[in-house]
Amino acid sequence: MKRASFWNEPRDLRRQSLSLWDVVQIVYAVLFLILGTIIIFRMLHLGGSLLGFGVGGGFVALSIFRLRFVLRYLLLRRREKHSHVGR
Amino acid sequence: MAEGRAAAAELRRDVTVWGSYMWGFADVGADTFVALGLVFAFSEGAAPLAFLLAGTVYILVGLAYTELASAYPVAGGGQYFALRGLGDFWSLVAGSALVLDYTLCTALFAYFATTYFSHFVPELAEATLALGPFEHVRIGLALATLALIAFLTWLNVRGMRQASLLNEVIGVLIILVETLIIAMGLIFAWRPELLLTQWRDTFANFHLRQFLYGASLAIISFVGLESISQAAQETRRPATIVPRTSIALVFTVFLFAVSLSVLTLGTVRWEVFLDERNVGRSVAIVAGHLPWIGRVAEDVTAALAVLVLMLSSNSGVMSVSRVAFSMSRYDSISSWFEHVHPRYRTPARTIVVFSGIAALQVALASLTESAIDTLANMYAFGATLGYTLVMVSLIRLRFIDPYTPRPYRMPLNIVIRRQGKVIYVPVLGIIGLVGITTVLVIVLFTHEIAAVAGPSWVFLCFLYYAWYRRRRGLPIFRSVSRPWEQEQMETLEAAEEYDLLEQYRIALAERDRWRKRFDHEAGIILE
Repeated sequence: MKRASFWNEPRDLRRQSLSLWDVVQIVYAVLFLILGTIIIFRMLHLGGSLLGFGVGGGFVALSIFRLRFVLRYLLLRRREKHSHVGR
Repeated sequence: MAEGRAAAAELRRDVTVWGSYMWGFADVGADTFVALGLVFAFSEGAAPLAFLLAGTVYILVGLAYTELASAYPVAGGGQYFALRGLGDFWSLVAGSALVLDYTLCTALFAYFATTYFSHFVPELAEATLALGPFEHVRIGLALATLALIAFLTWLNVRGMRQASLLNEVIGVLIILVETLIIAMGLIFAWRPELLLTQWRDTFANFHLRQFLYGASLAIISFVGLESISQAAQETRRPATIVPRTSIALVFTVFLFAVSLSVLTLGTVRWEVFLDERNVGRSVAIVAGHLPWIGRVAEDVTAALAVLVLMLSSNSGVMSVSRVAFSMSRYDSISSWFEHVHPRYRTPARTIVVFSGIAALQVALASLTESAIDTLANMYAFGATLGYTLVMVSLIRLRFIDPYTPRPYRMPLNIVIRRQGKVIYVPVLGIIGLVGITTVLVIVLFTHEIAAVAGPSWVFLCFLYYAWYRRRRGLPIFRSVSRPWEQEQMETLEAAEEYDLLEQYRIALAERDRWRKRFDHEAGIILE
């Protein structure tokens, strides 16, 4: 039996297409990326502060971390598309 | 026995990851509506830091619950984990903390449902009365809350349970509204200069005790992890569902709480929350600052909050009967509490007794200067005590029961081998224990009411327990011997976790083989 991963990411990307659950996660990750970037830029205009970078940077970092599995998924799909094995 | 197992299996349903997640979110998601204003009132401009600190501890506790609920999928939650890990006496302590929290959950959330409702009927919050030495009793809010508790009690005695579809609808609505508030707020209404000014002002004149008080109150925005265990009890194949659900739940609630506090600090002056009427509708006030849709967003948020808080209050009534049933099953309290109403088939006695206690808590809290603060104060005590015992149980169970398969294990472990057993010492579990114990100590040192009333409640429960156990001829401080291995196998079978059942049997067989070899070798040496 597979043990669940710490960050709750889908494990076997080959077997499944993106579920509704994954889509929701992607939407939220993108939203966090936008919010994080806005926070960092607005804080930079004020001369910057540790709090601002902490919050904004936290949003961006989390978003990038969460979006890793989308990247893995897309790379896998691309590889499958270009592969002739089994055809 | 077979009938019992069949009945247990019948309770289980095919709950999806999404359904299970929403079950928890409908419970935990409402906490932010309660905690936001309270934490700002005490931690001032450092409120986001308070949420961050409390949230970090909560994540560790949440991961511990995830591990335990997927390994022991039974509804007793913290009380059951303490029973398995620490024995009967500590299970009573954990159970009494949980019962206190569930009754307070009913009381506090019902009170907040009425304060958010007072957004539409301000007279409700303004009606005060002088009752002898108590000069400002908010009689309108108190009576409305008592009426709401009576209504919820009646509903539960009649057996009208929350449908899981309703949970899902409410959960989706909360997520959408909170996301909208945070996204629109951070993009259009958030002023970083206001955030920095408030932040710097607070630290220029920093009150450590007040900050710690606020930080310990922030823990109430994360209470409700017991719903993970309850979902585990009623879900088929919980090992697959529970880890994904609860990890997502833990991180979502954390993100919402921290984001909302950052948004609030850059949108509203924290002094607004010095008025108790504003504490009682804090999220609606933040929503009111959104551009263009502020007025509508404020009303929608307040209306949604009333609904969500009512459901959370109701979940307190429902959950306390599960814990009471578990406590009664394991000889902590009388089987009188297991009685089921002959007509409605509900645990009517438990519902009436504990709802009565919740009503008493509201009545007594209303006599104090701030009913909200008093109830939250106590709520934080119950939660931190219960969570502390859960963390201790997690660590101890890793040593005394390494055989039970853990579909999810807290990360960062030190692997040691002892007497043929492979033991994973949980580093994060130990850090979490230190964190939650620190919060408990802060609660005991800074919450004047909880420091007295909380331990008194636990002591009263102990007196009852001692009387009951003595009458039944059971030990008070020692544990009753129970066939845990058999019970664990039955639980896994009822949960249709056949893979785990197989793993468990193999682990037990290996242990027996190792013991036999050890006994044999010891015998040779003695000869």
